[in-house]
Amino acid sequence: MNDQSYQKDLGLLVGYLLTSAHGLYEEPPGYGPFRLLDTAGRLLAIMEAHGLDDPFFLQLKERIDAERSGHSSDEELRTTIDELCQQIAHELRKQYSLSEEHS
Amino acid sequence: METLQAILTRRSVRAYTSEPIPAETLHRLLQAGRATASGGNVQPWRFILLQEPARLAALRSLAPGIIGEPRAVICICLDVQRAVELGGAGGEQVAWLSIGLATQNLLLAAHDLGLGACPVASFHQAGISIFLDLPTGVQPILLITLGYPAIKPTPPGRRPLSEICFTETWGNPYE
Repeated sequence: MNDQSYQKDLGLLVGYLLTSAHGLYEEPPGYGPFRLLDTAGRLLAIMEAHGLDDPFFLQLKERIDAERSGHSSDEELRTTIDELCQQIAHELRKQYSLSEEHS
Repeated sequence: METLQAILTRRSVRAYTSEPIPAETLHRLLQAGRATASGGNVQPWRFILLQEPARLAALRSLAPGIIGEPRAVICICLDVQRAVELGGAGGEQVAWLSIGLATQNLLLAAHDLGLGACPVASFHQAGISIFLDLPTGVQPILLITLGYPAIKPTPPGRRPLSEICFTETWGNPYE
């Protein structure tokens, strides 16, 4: 991993987060959840560019990419985000389950 | 492509392939912007074409409305000083309309040239002005993202004519 380019990519993401925060004061309320979904997609893109190989997160990125380039209504977006949250919860339960010695 | 067909089939495209856009195509696009009608022929627009990948990445950081990774972006600017000097007291208001016309010209020309495009208004105006070295009196109004379409978007809904059109007077139904 190239630390310098990683920092550069994250720096651009920081800029995106700040300009998003500023923009949301005047934008429709539905833009907020979309910006956060887009942030997740941008973060996953950075992770992919720097060697992400976890199949779950690669699949998650694909799903988010498809979602953010479409024309979902606020309600459809809400349903999608809910589904993604449940997917990540299942994945986290799998990855962080208590080992037998802790149970 | 027929004009009416272009108008009816254009979509906002936010996902692009990595295929570069030839310089000739971009030149034709800018010519379409230049050909736009404007009140008093003031031509209050300025177009800034960005193609350099690192600068496009930085631009995305200042413009949250840019979804996907376009191959090029045209920043449409309003030259307020020119609009007021040549267009009179109401020049700025008319100039805004002219910018809208230029935007539609660019979007339709992009569609005709096989490009996907999307007008983006969600950006930090002061940040973009700084990034693009805009002089005082010139405002960034819209960003047009460009690239070859990676997907064909489904058509968004449009209100029916019966809801948006009247005959002769307000409220008299258009059949």
